[in-house]
Amino acid sequence: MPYIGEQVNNVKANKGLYTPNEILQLEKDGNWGGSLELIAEQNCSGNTTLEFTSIKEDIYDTHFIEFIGLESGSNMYNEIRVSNDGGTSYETSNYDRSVQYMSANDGGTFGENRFDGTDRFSLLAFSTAGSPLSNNVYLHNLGNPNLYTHLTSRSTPALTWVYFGSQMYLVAETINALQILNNASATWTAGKVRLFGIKQ
Amino acid sequence: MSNLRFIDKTSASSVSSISLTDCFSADFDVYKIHVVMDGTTTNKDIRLQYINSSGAIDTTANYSIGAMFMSSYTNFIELRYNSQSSHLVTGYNYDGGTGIEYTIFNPYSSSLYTGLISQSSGAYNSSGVKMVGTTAVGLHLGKTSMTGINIIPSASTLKDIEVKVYGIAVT
Repeated sequence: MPYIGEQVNNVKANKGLYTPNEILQLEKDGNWGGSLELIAEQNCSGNTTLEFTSIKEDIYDTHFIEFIGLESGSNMYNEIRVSNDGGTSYETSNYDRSVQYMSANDGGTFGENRFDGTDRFSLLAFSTAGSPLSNNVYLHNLGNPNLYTHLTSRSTPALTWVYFGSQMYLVAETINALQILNNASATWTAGKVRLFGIKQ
Repeated sequence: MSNLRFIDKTSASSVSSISLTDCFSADFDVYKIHVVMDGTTTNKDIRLQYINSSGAIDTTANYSIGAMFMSSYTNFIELRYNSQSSHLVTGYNYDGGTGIEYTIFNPYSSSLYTGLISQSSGAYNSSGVKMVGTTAVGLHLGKTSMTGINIIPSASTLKDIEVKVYGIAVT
């Protein structure tokens, strides 16, 4: 039996001994490795929108999205819309938003941005032309037809501003596709978006 | 390979509290906890308590929290609670559900305070169902080794709740 070191999914710091067959089976079952599964990754450059139409909402009840260094030639911020028909169309109403912003500048202000019924999830954190913008987003309950979709987000600093907040799509239905867009309908020149499922 | 390592999960359909024991250990310093739940038709906030190494729920007055009540329909509200028997207002809940992510620091240590950062999005009834989110930072000032968590509502019950705990591996 080969010694392969510490089994990465073990809770306790024991030293696992696994046969090749056991490793193959664990890998097949999705239990080998960490608990963050990359579902899809898309490059932004040259696009104004991205669509994720296979999001494994039947497997994961929590998803994680990384927006990494999105840039364009315009001032813009990143947004998300949800779909209940696999991406044939995207919902344009019933989104609630509450986002706090904080300035790191001397004399800068803190404030709130909120909407009660709008047409998309807006992650905010403004980016000026040619400067990168990144966000971390959790989405809960996408695949549950009985619950609303819940979102929490944080941004990296942009123009010395930081944004974080909560949002909700107030229709209880299964969400099976996501659209990534920006408020300026700008063509991105750089960046990527990664969609993960949180293994359970 | 991600550094997020699944440890344990539990679920319940209608309960006054939900616990996960023996999920904190010396193996990890930082933990992620994801909570998804439906809700009853009673407005409530969701509260977090720790379970000590003896298996008892810690209700000492050592829980402090600073939180922002962030709603879509009215001005944000600063919330501050000290010397409580739980971390209050880590989320709000009504029919339509809530999602919460907790990050917990050093719960197993008996020489450090246990830190908490949380963010949530939940349904809330205020002349109709609205969204209320929270972002909170908390500290348990007990320097007590904690091995688990207990989640309770401020009113009514927890409906169709699932709690999953992950460790952040340093590898």
